[in-house]
Amino acid sequence: MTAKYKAGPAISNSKVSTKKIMMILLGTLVFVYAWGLFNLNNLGVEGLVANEIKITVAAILTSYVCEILFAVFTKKNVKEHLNSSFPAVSPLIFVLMAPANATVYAIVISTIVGVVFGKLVFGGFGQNVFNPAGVARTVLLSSFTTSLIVTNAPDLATMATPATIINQVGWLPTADTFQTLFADFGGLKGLLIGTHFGALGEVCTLAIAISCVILSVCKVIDWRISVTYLLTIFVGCFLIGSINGLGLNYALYCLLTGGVMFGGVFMLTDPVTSPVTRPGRVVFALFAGLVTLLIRFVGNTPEGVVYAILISNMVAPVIDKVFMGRQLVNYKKNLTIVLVTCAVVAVALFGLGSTRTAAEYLTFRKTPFNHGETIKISSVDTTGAEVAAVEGNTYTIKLQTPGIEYNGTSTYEVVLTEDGGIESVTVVDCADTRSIGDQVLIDTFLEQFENVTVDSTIDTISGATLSSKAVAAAALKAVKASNSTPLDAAEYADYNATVDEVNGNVYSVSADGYGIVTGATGHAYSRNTFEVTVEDGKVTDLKFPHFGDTEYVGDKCCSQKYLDTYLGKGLGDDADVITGSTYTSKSVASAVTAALMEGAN
Amino acid sequence: MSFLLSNMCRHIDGRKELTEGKPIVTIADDKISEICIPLQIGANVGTPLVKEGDRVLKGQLIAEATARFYVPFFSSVSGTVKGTKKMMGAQLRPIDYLVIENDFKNEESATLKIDYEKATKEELVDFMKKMGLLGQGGAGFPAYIKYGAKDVDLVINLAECEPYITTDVMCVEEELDMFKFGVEMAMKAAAAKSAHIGIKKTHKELIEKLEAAFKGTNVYVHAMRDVYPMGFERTLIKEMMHRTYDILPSECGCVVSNAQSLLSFGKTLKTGMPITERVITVSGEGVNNPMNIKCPVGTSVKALLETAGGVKLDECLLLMGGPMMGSSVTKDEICISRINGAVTVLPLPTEKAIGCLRCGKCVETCPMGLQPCLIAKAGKAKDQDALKALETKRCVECGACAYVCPSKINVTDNIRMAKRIMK
Repeated sequence: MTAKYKAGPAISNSKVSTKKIMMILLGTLVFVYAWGLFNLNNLGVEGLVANEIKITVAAILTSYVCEILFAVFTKKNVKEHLNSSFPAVSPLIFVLMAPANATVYAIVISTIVGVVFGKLVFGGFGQNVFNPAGVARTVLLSSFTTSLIVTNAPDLATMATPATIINQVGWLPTADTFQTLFADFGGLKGLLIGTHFGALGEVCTLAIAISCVILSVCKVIDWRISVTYLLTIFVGCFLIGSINGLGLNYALYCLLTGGVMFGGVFMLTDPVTSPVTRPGRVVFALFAGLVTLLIRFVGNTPEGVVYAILISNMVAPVIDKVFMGRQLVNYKKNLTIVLVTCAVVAVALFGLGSTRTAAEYLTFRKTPFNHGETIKISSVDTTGAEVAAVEGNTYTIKLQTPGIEYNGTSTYEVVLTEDGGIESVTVVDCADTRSIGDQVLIDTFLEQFENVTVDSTIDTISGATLSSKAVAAAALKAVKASNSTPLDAAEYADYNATVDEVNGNVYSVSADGYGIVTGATGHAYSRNTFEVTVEDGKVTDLKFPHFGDTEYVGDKCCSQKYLDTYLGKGLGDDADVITGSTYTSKSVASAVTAALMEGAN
Repeated sequence: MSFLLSNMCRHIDGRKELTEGKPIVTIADDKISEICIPLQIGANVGTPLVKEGDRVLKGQLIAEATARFYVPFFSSVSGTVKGTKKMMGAQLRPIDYLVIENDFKNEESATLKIDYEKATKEELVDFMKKMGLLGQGGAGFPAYIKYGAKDVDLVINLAECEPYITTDVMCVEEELDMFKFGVEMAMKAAAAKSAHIGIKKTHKELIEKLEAAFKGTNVYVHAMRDVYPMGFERTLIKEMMHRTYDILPSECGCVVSNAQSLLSFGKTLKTGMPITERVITVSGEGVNNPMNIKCPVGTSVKALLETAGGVKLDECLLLMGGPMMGSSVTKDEICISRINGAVTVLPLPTEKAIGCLRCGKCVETCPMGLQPCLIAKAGKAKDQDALKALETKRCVECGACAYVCPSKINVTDNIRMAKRIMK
């Protein structure tokens, strides 16, 4: 037996290790990531999921390369270093906060800055002052905005996420506009599940909340930080909202949008960059909450969370200093400091709430849209579009945007001009993807449909091409509906079409025209007569021997060019209607229908 | 779970089942043919009163320390003095031992008897001093000093929070009546209003027995949480008496005694003989047959380990005491003094330390409410101001911070080093 010397206790808690802590953290991150990826897939934007996976792999690989090089340069055992520096965590947190359509290039550069200047220059794991993922995210946000975006999804700068939209009105909308905003992003359910666009880690707040419980129970994070931070945001926004006539939903909206949940659960709680004492952590979280709200309400960046976290990281050592020493003896002092901090935060938020004025939510639908390809309205495919109702010149069209299976049916209202042109298009109910497809609600896009014909061109919204085309399809369908009439006897009861003579497969038919159907006077109106040749249930020839309607109006239908449009048509098909000669056109259609019916008997 | 206050303790797997309930084995004669009595306990160094060749009797005064506190040393056997020798002590410094050859006649020296029924508080305290009663929980603080106070509450520490050790609980259970007598006398000596026994709630049977034994008296049995360091007097007083103090328990009207010390007090009063024997827990994963061994003071660790079936590891940690606060020694020739209660043999730890992630688990657990990770960092940076602000000297080196550290950093040792560089 050889007895060795060891200072300090001879046993340690084998149930807990830093590696295990980091594995649980990694597990919850992957859970949030998978949930986000599922949502992203459901948004139906082509290439987004593939790009997300690409940038994730790129970020993690970059982090590993940086750590390996660091180990080599500092002459450390590479394997041991990798085992104790957990290179996968920071890039994963970073990617969860990055837009899904960022380029690999932008992600790699940001990761390098985050890992090298946020972590390794301080000496590696456990030594850093700032959250490395936060540093990387800041670099991405400030250095790469509009230019480095792949796929046709909306870019980071103009993308409509709940956070960017509300930021445009200074985070304090009026009650009415907030209702619209809240509904636009799917209400509370939409915000919890994350059906809108946004960074992967920001949308699925429910998954983050679940992770928070898991991490707290496993003692990976201190729930005091998360709870205090989230409560500060929630109570703060409730206070500010209440002063300005907004309710509970507003506070929830502020809590569940942007990076608040993700930052509060995964970033602020990073033990390396937060204080070590309990009262210190509470003060730290209160401070971070206040800074977040200040940036949101007063600052001009779209989101305050990452900056607030980095600023709080900076004061963490100072907070540690305040709470040094025996905590039982200093309890009253510590409690006083915490309560005073609470009071300061409350006063600041109260001041913030009473000095802000609620703004109208007028920006979102007034903003210019990102122009995509230019298309002719008449060129779009109207498959699936249905006329739900017609009232005068107003056509209600229902259409499920083709190509996006996940979405429901949208409803459009198309108003036509007297001469068959398009007067306006409104989107009554948009079922398309939140903050992507529903960009068709933007007024400047819909204005393109004002007083145009089907031969006009419109610009689609970049990133929402399918949804844009669906609007054009609805317009085209309405125009087509106004220009056609079905070969269906039920439509023409007023026209009294009768088959007078049958000669083989040639039917002589007579039918009322404009004057007789409407009872108009001032003209000698008579019944129109036709000769319809039918073979195998289809029109093979059509002649208009006697015309009894208004000359120079209805006689447009007498042209052989028009009559030939009936060739090849059978019962149930649509026949064209000549604008301005609707009754005569229908008179022709009624006669053809009668002949076809006779032929079918 | 407090929102702002740490737990200041945590559960540690006690591994008490290795020895608890097993019969106490008396050491074989051939293992104690030569006895080496340490002439130093804590900082008290004894001057020998006998010389080589003298015949000494069991219980005879053989040395005295007078420099700081009065601490007497007694022979634990009868035999012949073979001189003194310098060997490694339990505190990793070489100390003097008085070597006595055992003649196995067990001839006892003259007894010191007092009429304890009629004795005054002062007489009892003076008896404690003459009999050299020391705190047997491991600290070895002379009992007579503590018992000078008046109108106090006697706190009896039966928490035995160090893992593996079962000697206190087993001795008290074996001699419950003697323990009861010791408690009554100690209350008299302390002029105590009441006495409170703190025992971990896991010892259900003993709690019942104690409650039955002390029924109707002003001695209360408290079932305490199974957390470390419940046996730290500050923690025990906080948890059981709900009191706090700055430096000494007497500030909050408490006198703390280890339960086995009171058992010894009772025995010395009844027999008039000083403490010459101890029950030592020899346990740990490295021992073949963990057990409690009754042996005379001055028995070597080697003899104890052999009695317990030997060590089954080639390389191990040998600890005087338990795994948390016991001192790691490299030689088994060390002999036990009357404040030792355990020898623990454990496998060498294999986990390598990695970077501190400031998780705060040490802050959470520190029974003094300090910030161990910050102290360790300030110590490495030699930041005197920070070390002072962190109240580094308050650390009692209980080892809880190193135990909980997920990065397997030896926080306790880092703090020890920080203390050393402090001005």
